[in-house]
Amino acid sequence: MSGKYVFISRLLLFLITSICITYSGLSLAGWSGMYGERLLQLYGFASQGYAYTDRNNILGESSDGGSFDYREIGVNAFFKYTNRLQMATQFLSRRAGEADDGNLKVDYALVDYRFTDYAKSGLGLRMGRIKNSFGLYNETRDVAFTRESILLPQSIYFERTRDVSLSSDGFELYGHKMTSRGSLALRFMAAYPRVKDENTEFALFRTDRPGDIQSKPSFLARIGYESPNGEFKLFVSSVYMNMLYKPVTGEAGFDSDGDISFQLHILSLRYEYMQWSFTSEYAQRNFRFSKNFTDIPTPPYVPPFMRNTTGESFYLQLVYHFNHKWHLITRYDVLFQNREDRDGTKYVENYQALGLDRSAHTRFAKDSMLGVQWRVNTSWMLSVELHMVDGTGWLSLQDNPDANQTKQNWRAALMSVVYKF
Amino acid sequence: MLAKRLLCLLTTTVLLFPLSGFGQNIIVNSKNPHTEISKNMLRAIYSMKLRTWQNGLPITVFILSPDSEAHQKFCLKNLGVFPYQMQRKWDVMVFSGTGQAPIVLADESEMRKKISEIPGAIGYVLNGEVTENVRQVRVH
Repeated sequence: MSGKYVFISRLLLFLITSICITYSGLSLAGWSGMYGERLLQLYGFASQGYAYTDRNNILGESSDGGSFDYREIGVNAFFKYTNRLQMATQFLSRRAGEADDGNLKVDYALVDYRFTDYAKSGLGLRMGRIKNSFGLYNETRDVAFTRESILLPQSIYFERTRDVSLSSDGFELYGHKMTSRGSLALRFMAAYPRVKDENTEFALFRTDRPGDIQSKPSFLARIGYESPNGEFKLFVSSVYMNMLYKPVTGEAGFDSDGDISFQLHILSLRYEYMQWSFTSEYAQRNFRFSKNFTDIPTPPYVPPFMRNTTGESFYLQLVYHFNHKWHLITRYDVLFQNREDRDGTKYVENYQALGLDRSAHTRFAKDSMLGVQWRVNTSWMLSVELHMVDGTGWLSLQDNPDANQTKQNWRAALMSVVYKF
Repeated sequence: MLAKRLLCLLTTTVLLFPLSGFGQNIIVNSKNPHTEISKNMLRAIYSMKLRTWQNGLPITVFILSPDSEAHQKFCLKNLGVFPYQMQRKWDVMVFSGTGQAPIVLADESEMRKKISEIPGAIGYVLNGEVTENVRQVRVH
């Protein structure tokens, strides 16, 4: 990342957060615009979860009597400077086992300028740190009450590679158009994804390498169609993410930087009818590593057969809303790390040829879940859910340091309390 | 197929029956030039996609408490969606920095007061009493 760009984005972040913090000192009711409308809005939430697994670990040491290491706190501010110009920022602290440390991070900090704003169409530009909007859930994946379950479908919304998938620093062009036959919405982002945490290295290399991963200009686009009454939604999302691995001097095997590219394509569908809501997403994920990763003489390295793999994810989800407070959710979620090796047997054979031991069940996961959510009132929400999983494809390495110790079939029970303000 | 149609008709009738003789009204400030708006426009306003009226006034969107009967009826009858669908839309916008949520007011008298004070305001009430600076708007 060029030094100049880093400086500009950090300056923007600083400016926006300072403005929002300064104005948040004023009373909420007192800050009105010249037409009397409210200019500043503040919101936040806090959630505490509990996870218990009979084997394997999620969100902390869940298999050792359960884990309370699952907490999210967020505070945001939205400021309308003029009718066309708005600013927003959100701070987030998240603790999720060993994978997320609870440090306060800037989740987003952006300036939003609206070029056109008609009843039938709109066009605008966002700048700064912006949430990555792909699929149906990514934009607010950390905001508990926007999810219909405690855990999002892990096949697509991995806990493992979170920071990279959360928000990026750059620009987003957005537009929408409404017709009598439905509305179309487009978002196109050109930005640097956040890759500065060790989760990314763990997810990519199964360990924390001595060098550094940096992001390169990456792109994301999402096109959505919504039927006139909102019953039917269809989205197509594509992510093209590029990263650079900068080795330390003398790092064995690396005589130049390593290139890593990641592509994600998702087809999303939601159909809502009366109290029923049916959702399904299908995704393909491709990882590509440059050749210098395989030239490293000793493990951990990326063997030739792992240099270019495409994984597959799919889920079917059904929600039944008893009324505006209660709903029941069930989902079947499938992940294959390599669509050409769905049962992981080739993976085991390939590693055996290198003299290394691997388990086939780390290459897939089939998760059946059932959950209940109760919105006690507009501030409080409780959720409970059960998972029965065949496979360990999406377990985090930090919570399960030895993948060969993980067990294929396992169950999880989760609970969470959420407070919104 | 026929059974499904009958069930759908029955469910919708049962759901909307209490609303049919029911004076749910959309209200705006009397300075607002609109006397009627399309259902699509009302949806665009309450989805927070449309931010300004045609004359350039910013739109300020008000709702009553999401748990209230008036709000539930407004969503079902005027927007044609379940309240939880709107709430999720607003939550996603607020917590991704891509938009504001409607402002929640305590009761109808506060609703009328705010609408009368803010030129670009829009809201809803259960009974269509006309008060100072507040005008009804027909949705077609």
